[in-house]
Amino acid sequence: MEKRQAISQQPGQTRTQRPPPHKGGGGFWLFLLGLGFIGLAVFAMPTCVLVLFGMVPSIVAYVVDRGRRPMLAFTIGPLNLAGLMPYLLEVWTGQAQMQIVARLLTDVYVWLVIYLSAGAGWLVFMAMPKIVAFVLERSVDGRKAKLKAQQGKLREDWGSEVGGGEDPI
Amino acid sequence: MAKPVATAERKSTGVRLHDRFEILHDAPLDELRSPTAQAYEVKDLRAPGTGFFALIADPTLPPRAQELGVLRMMRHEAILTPVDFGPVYWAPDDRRCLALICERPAGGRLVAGNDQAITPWSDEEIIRRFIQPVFPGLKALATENTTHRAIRASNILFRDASRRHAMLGDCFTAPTAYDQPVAYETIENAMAMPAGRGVGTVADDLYAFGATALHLLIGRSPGGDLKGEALIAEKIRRGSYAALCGDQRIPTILFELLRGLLVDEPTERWGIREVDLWLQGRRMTPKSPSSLPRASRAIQVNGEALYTGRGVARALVRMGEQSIHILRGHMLQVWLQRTLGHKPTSDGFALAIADIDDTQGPAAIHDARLLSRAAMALDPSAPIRYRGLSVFPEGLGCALAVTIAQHGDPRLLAEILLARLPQFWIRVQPMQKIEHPVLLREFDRLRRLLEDTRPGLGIERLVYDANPLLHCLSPLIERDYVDQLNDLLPSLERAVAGGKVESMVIDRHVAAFAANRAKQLDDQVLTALGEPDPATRLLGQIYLLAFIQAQWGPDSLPALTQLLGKQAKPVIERYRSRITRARLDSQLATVVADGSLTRLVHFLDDLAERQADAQHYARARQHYSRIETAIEKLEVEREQILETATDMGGLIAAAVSAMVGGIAIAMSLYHFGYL
Repeated sequence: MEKRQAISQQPGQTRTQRPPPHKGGGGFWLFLLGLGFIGLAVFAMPTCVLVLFGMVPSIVAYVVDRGRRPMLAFTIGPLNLAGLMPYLLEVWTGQAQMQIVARLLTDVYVWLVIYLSAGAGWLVFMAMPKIVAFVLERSVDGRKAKLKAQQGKLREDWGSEVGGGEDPI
Repeated sequence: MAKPVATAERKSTGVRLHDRFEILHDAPLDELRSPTAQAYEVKDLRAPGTGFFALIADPTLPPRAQELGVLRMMRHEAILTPVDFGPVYWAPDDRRCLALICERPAGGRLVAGNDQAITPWSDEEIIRRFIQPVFPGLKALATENTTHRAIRASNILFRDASRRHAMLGDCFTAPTAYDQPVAYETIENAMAMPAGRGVGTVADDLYAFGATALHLLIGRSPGGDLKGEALIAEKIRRGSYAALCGDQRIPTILFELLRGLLVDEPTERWGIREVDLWLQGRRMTPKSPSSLPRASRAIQVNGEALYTGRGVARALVRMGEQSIHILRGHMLQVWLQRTLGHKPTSDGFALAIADIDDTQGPAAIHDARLLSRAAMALDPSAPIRYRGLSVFPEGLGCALAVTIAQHGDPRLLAEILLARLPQFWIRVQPMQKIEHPVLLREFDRLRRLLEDTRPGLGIERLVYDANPLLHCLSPLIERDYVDQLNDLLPSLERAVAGGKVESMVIDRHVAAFAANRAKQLDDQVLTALGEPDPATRLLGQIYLLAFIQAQWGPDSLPALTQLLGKQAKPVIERYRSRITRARLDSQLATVVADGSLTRLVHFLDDLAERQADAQHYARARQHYSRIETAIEKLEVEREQILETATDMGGLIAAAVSAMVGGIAIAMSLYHFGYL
């Protein structure tokens, strides 16, 4: 453990730093998104309203996640959309779309479904690094144990001096 | 030397040598004993009735190897010669000793001791009973270029029962001139300690021959009541002839001979040729002996007025360290140059003082070296005198052996060699001899040997190199009188089996003895014996013993192999592989059971296996290092897991969301009939 610290604290050694948070072309995408919404508002007002309210978690995630790659938004987005999709289809297949939208937006269960699906995306995003870290840790432990076993066999065959310890000869 | 196959027979009263001679230890022959060897009756088992007797040599004295060989080949009736010799178990001393079988002289010994008075012989008796029978022996020795160096009244035996023909007794059981009283030795030899007199020359034998003749003539030891230093001083003061004869009237017939033989200057002393001519009736007038260079004015040293370099040297040596201020002052040098006026002496002294800047070692040792060099320069023919020791360069090896065998301190003798005093002695000799360059090289070699402290070398090796017949003086086996390599391992085996040895079998004496006797022994083995690493040291021991076993046997040495096998753990641990170690451990007992050191050494130190072990170990280390690097990389990877998981988690979450959302939308579309 101390060795690991020593290695990690070696002077002059710089750890790989995460690039400063930026979203290259974020304004452009926001502009496109805005343009899409205006178009959607012009040609499909009910859908636009439902999407605007239903996709709030994804929009918030996109705004909050300042990383180079907005993985939080990419994780929440698909599930958020999946939660919204049945209601969008209900709007698209219905006759009085605005009334449907209004009913849906006033239905607490609709909000619950949409936001739970977005919440599921958040949970996935939160849990996945830990799962990956756990898997990687086990992998490193396994490989290290194998190497230590090899060293143990060498010490058994040649004595502790094979590892550069005190050579009795 | 003959192979000793002595058998101890405790039940009988004797011990056998080479299955031929039975030495009866309950039948001593006091009339034939010498100061350094007891005499006993011997039965010749092959030819009963033959007259032999045995001399049991003192084990603390090295026998004279070269002379033993020469005398054995020569077998002259005028000299006691050994017909056979070898170590035997000597029950009275409960040890093995060197036994020498000689033909028994029928007439016994002239006198038991040098101080024993006899009825003076007439001049005719001396010629007929002593000179005529003994001189051919001296001639034969001179022809063989060897010396007797034990010619004295107490060493005269009679070869016939009527005691008409004298012969010379034992000269081989002790070092050269070891038992010679001062009266029978030249001034220079008398100054030397008994063990340090060196081989000497025929001239020394002739001097002793003359002194013995004088003893017979006057019926008592020459020199009267004077003994030791007093007699030496008298010889120096008056000359040997005058000092030994005293007021005794010498018959005319012997006067020339004694005068010629007792000349102090060796080059002026009668030689073999002169004595031979004298015996043939040719009468010669001995040259009047030239005296040492004498100064016209005395120098005062320690209250004595001295006129000769020899006198000054003796006075300085007597003063010891107190004489250093005289040596460092100018008075002595000026006296030598201006008053004594003998250039070789003053040059030699200048040479001795020139090394005054040699300040190696403690001041006391440095002063002793300076004093020794100065004494040599002032009296070049005298022995090396150093801190109470007095020894000729040729006698150094023997003196060392006697000192070590008698548990004395050999350090002073070693200091003589380290200080290069023998080389200085040779340099200041007034007459350079043909053998001097060889001696110089030999002393340089011995000095290097002494400085090499590895087992098998050093002072112990020097002792065995200088005394070829000396037995191994290791405390473990000294009582076994091991004088040949084929006896070494059986003796060590007995010592180990008897529980005398707990760990290291080879001490410095065993190593030096083996290295001296086995000339082809690899030097690396001796180096290994001195290594601090116990494994290398043990391997060195096993290699050395295995080498001897392979060459000289015996085939099986169970106790030795067992002892060395028990200590083999560090050697086995030289292998890195635990598997190899375990295998060797499990097989060791089987190998040890064979009793073969050769097999043990091959088992423990297999070169191919060691190389393979080293290669595999290097590979294992590399592999271990690579794994270590991989683990470090994994740790770095672990540090970055959170970041990776965040990135990957976001992507996966988006993908999962898109997939689930897509399915839900599709289901909605299907429900409303759009699909």
